[in-house]
Amino acid sequence: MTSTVGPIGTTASGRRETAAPDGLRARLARSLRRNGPGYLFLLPWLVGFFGLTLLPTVGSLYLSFTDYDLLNPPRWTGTANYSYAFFEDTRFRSALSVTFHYVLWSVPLKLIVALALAMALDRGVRGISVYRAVFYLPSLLGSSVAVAVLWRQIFGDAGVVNQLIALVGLKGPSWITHPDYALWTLIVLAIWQFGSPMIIFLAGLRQIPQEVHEAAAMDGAGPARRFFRITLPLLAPVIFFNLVLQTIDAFKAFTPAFIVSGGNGSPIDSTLFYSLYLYIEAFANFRMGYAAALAWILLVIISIFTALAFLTSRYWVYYEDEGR
Amino acid sequence: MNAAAPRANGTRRQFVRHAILIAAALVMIYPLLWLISSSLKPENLIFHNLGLIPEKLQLDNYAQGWTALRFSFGRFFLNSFFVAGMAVVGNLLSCSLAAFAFARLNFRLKKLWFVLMLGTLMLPYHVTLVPQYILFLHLGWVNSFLPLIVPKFLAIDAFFIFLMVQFFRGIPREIDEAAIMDGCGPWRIYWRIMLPLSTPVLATAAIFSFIWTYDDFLGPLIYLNDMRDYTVPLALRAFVDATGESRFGQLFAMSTLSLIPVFIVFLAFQRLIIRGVALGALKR
Amino acid sequence: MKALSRRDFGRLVAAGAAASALAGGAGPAFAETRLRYIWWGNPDRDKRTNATVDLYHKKHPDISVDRESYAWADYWPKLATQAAGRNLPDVIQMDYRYIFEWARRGQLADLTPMVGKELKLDHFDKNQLESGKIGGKLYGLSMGGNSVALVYNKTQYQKLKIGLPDPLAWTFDDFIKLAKDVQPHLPDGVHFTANKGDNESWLEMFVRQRGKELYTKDGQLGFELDDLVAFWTIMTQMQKDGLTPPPDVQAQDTTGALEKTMLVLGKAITDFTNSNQLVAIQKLMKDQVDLTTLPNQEGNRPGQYMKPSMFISQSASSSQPEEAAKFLNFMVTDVDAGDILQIERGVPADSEVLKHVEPSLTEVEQRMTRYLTLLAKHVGPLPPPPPKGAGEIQQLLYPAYQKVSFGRLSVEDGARDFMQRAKDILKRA
Repeated sequence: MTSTVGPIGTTASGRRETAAPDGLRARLARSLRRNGPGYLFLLPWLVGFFGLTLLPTVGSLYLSFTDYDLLNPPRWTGTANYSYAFFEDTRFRSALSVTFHYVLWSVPLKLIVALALAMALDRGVRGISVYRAVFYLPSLLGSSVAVAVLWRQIFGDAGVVNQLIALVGLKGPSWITHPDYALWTLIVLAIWQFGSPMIIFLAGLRQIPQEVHEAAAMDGAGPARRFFRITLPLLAPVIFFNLVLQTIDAFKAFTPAFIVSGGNGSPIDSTLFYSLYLYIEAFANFRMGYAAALAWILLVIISIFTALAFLTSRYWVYYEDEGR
Repeated sequence: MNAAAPRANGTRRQFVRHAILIAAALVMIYPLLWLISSSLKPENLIFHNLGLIPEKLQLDNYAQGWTALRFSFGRFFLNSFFVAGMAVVGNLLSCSLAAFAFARLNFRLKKLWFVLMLGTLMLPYHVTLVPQYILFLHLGWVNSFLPLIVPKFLAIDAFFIFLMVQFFRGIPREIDEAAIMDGCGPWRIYWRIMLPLSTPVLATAAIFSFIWTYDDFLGPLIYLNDMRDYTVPLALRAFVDATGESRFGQLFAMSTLSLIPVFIVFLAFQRLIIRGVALGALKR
Repeated sequence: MKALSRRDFGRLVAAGAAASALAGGAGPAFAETRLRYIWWGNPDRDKRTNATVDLYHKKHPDISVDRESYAWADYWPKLATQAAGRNLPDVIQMDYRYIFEWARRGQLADLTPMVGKELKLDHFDKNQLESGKIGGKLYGLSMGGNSVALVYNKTQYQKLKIGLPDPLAWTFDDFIKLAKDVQPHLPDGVHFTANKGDNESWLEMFVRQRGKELYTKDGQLGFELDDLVAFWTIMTQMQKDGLTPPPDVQAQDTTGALEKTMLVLGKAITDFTNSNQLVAIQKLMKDQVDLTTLPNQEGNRPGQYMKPSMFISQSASSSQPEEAAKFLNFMVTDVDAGDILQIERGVPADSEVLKHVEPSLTEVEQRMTRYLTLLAKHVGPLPPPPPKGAGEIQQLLYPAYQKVSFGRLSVEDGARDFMQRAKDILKRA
């Protein structure tokens, strides 16, 4: 980007160095002129950030070093909560493993489905807006209680899936309450609600100029080749955006397990999502201090994953306004 | 590729494509069709009869479900619309202000604030739940809509700021420059130039805020005490009780109704969403 | 903003003002005293409770009662958040498993000083009254008595022309023999009984029949590894013999929702329940259902007891304890209130109310009272109040038993694992 005038609210940055030292009042006035508008615009966010996010977050950091049952004042216990989590708590371990499993499967599969359907819808399909709406419908249902009943209806022992299986003479288990499959039904639920990434992919595909495809087709590139050579690289920023946001969301996932599996991680903790475990510890078992520690551990894990995504992105994500 | 019959080939292709899409769509919405059809069945047949077409159509579940709780669903819908509507106004205003600052203004520590803002995206919701509750309680806001609405006016949802920053960056600077030449201040540029040019992204943010706030149930659960103030998802949960008799037919009927407003909103504005996202989030 | 919805906005401000007025302890202008009452329930219970509260308003126009009602799953987090914010309602519905936990954490008021004054409990059942006490202090009034029970599909049994053994003396051997007689006549996918090895009340009844308790008076586990092994051995053997549904089918029923019980789903013709749920179960079933007692063990020592289905309690932080107590009194001893509430929360503990209500009971409700009358001849004393962490241990039982029923652990290893975890929870609580 080559603009000649600097951003609004500031003069060219060079002037700062050349300016002669003058009175405090003048300096203040200049600083105000330079920073004032920015901070004025940012003010609502700043109030919200400090008041509603930072303060409670720091509060929970403090709580994570205490024994706090919500009802009596917190009692300082040092790192006891953290060492309990890492060295003693077997449910913590299974919750972590369930969540990793969920993230590693649901995110890529959801993105693949979203991308596939976005491409199928991309150009020249009649009635695209109807399809788009239909594909988005499941996402509108969100985490409504009705989802729980629907999912039982599909993956229960007399559900639709087993009726289909029965057609070929086999008998399926009750998928939703079998420890080997219960988590998979939640992964399928996540994939089913692929509406938002699909919309974002659709928008991204629209950014790719048709001429590029046409030129490649002229050169004799088949659909597969065009997909890997043109669509994927040009779509990389969008894929990256979806990947990061979906991963964060999946790590934080709570409602699928809370609503579908009845909120206790059943069977045998196979659907005990990390957030669900945190919630149980905080509000059912009155261990807010421990729950705060769990929350902070999750925050660190999500940060690491996000940082990793950003670090690796420079090798596979190219932005059009860079180096071209 | 057979160049001799491109049209026939194209039609066949279209046909196959539609066949695949329709099949996918059916799989997608089968559960929803089941939901709707169950809402039309008598309670005792819902789980015994798995077919989609009800033997006997009856609207009792709708009539009874609408008034099954102490207040009618009309009230809950109004509450939901009010909360979601205010959330839309709040998010649009506060997030666009912040996004404008990040995209166009220069000030000290801007990078730091930006990183912190993105950082809040990663924060698990439960981290701040209890401290926030205590804060709102001290402000005397519990048992009112304020805890659900005021945070939106304070740009609590970083996703929208992020989305708008991306969009604003895509608007050519030359436009601002011309405005500065004409003596416009930042406020006028924001209000008179940026916002009018940003309708797609504003619409996107509006729709997503509406849908997400409308769907949220944990916030209303924690902050609303009086059933008079219940939002739709909260009222729906009141239908199901683990220790007594639940009413699934009515739950399904009201769930079906609850989908209608968001679906209409989505249908009406989906074009804008696509454009908003296309021009916004994806560019850097 | 105003144009958007002026009325709603006005109400919003009013609601905010009311909340802050409450927090400040001052009453609003239009009612002299304001109480808040919270309960969990379903639409039917909500309707009855609301009608009762309306009646109270009519009788006491100067008092207004704000109602808050939730589904069971949402109730406890809601209550915990309110407690954390020192914002509990004045009057709180409490569950038997949690009342002592809440009392020990200092959240519930001791009602003893009100007895004889605001609380007129002369006709209140002594055992039911006792069940709300811990250390001599009264923390809640039973809203209705019930007990655990076997619920069975009477229509199916009649079709099979198989009668049930003497309910007061039958044993687990009889139970299993009956199962083996019945099972061959049942269609594929239908089993004799649900498998409730993960149910705390089943386990409690089982260990009480062996002269033990779930918890001792000083809050330790009151039973041994052997007891649990014996219980689970019976349960898993029945599962292996096909007398109960396979574990993945049974696992649908871990949240307590009646719609997911094996009986209602038609997977079993016998199930385990709380007696006050009979009416709700019957509503979900085409076939007729009825209640009978649980099988006994050697020595025929009674394992069951009359248990309060739920309590009505008062928060320790209530700013108007006398008014709250009067309301409590109304809910459990007023005959007109009883007329509306009937036996939806169990059989009223107040004999006057019960006398008043009995003639108007439906046939299904009478089945339930008949059962309790029969059971009254064969009940043991109340167990000691459960310790802190009892709620968590109750939840632990589900995955612990599932590890055994799904064959992940042997009965012995699974039982040992459970005992260890339960002890850890008691230590940590």
